[in-house]
Amino acid sequence: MADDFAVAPTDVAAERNQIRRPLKPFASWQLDDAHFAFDSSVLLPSMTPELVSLIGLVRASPGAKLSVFGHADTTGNDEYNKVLSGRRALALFALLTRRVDLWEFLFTNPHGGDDWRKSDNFALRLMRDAVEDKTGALPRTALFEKFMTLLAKDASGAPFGLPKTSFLGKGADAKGKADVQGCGEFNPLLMFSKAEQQALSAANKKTERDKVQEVNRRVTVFFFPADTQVTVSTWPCPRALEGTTDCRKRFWSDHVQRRTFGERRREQPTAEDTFACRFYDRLARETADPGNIEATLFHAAPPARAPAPPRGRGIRDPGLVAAPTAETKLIAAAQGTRVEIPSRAVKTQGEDEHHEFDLRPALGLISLEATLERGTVPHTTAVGVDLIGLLLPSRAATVLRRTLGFLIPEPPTPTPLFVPEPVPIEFEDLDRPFANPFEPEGPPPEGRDVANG
Amino acid sequence: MTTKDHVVARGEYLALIANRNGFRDYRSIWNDPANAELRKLRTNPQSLAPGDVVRIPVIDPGTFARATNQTHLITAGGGPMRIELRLDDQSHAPFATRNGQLTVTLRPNSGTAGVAGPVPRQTGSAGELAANSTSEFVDGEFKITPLDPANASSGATFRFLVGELEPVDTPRGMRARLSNLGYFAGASDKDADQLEWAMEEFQADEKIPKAQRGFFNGERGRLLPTLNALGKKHGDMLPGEELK
Repeated sequence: MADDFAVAPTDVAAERNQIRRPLKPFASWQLDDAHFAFDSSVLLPSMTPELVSLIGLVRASPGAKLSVFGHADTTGNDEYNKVLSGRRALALFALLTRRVDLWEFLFTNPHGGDDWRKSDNFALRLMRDAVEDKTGALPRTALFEKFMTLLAKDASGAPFGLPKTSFLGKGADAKGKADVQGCGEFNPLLMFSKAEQQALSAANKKTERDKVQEVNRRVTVFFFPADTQVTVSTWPCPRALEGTTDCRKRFWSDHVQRRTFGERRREQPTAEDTFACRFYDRLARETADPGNIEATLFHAAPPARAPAPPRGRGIRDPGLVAAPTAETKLIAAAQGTRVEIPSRAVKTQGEDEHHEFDLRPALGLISLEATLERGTVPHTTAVGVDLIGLLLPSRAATVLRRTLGFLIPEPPTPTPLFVPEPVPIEFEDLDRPFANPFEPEGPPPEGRDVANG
Repeated sequence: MTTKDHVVARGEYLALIANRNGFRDYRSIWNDPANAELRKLRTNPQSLAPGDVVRIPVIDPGTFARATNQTHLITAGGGPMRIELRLDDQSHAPFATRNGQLTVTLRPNSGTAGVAGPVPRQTGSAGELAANSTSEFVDGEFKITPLDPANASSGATFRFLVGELEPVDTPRGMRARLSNLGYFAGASDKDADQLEWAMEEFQADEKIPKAQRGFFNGERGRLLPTLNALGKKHGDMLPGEELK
């Protein structure tokens, strides 16, 4: 992946352009509340079909680095919810990495209502049912292992597991810093209105309240590019079972307002102010924010015979100019499957055309390339990364209607960006300061007569 | 001396404007008394805003009286411009002594832009990478060779757009510097919210006192510590060049 950076040239010593690769996830995956046993960190077999899309994404992006973020709802206190969300994140992390010891930890160390042993060891009973251990003969660790095998499998039934190096912190921290963490109730997708909150806070409304809050109880996995480097010691998030102190250091300045129930209900992604943590806000926004996707300009692949040009400096590539509106469709393809999505709305902004596509038909399709067809002119464009992000929305229930921005190539053939005629530029240009053309080659003659000085 | 006005367009920097107007050294324009106002407004002549007016002096052809029948050396001022980059990874560690391929688009003094490279280059111990040329820089790309040849995605590609760095006290200039420093300052100029949030992240990271935080509220003075910190962190503003 390449990023564009604006720079200034210089001839002054010590002046420079500091350029840092952004920490930018390219996709996210989410496990909903319904796949955990009620009010606990015990995973349910219903999660397996959900896991298939995660596995697809892992396989489509070799070397990608994952980081797991648990979330609680806004009922209860901050500290309790922080650990609860961390435990759910740990439970999923343990499943992905086949860490039976982590489940063993969760089992032996209950946290308030999240007690795997409550109701006569409900977790074990649930697992024995699932793996058909009717006699209850399996020892606990063997049972965990067998249940993990049952849950973590791909569409063909093959077992699935990831090494610790597949995670962002690469397992450098024994307690999973940068690999797995809980956000508690700091980053909800939904904030009630004040009125709703009041109406639902009555004791007899608990069931209803829990139902509405379901959307906030989730575990999100972010995917980072393979070459992402993070230093575990400076990673801002506290470990999964640690308190909220380090979370609060990253709060937005208006976090109080963000965390207060307001006059109206606020819901992501239309409301952008429900996350209190600016670090998480940025990560989530980079993958799921429709505003971000709208701003993505898709470029045509350069003509095969011309040298691959660096992208134009904010100007339009001459081969890519706006053309009058014509029927445009997006074609997503993967592994022999092809989905055609017609453009359902068009708006023009300056030279850019913005098309709106309903991407639901392509849900679940992992595509590394998509073709935009305009009339009869196919325009292959590398939108894969964005599509993956799009196709794995932060919530399955989210309507997958996003606005894509792109530049339309002018038919029939794009003109090469650069004139093929060779331009006399020497590579040495780049390797040493230019020789002063006014100065003759070789050492200066004795007693030289220098003008201006 | 008479001057003509040049209105800066997007992507233009003073060395480029000087070059196109027949000056070898942009300082002849920058230091001209006619540009005193511009110097007050902008601290870095290679980081101008579209719409800025540069007063270009009429060239005074240098004349020298020298004896005939001897060789004289006339040295002109000015020289090549450089692109100076420092490349960091996401953990703020430099891409130190990494090999890669550098490609730049150059536009000779009279002619069409062309691509030079790729040439193999290695970054310095602090991630430094420089390119020199007397031609106008247009843009370029440095592709870091993956350490693990089996994993093509373990490299990194930096594309740089020369002349697009606008002054630090303009929204585009803030956005560019914040993006260069790894903040997510929005994908387009329209994304003012995202820029505001990135500013706050920067202010928090740089420990700018709360009283001096804020954004475009008309109180430029209050924001000066942020803007100066941003310019220096990015490296195009040197100590002594602070906005006042």
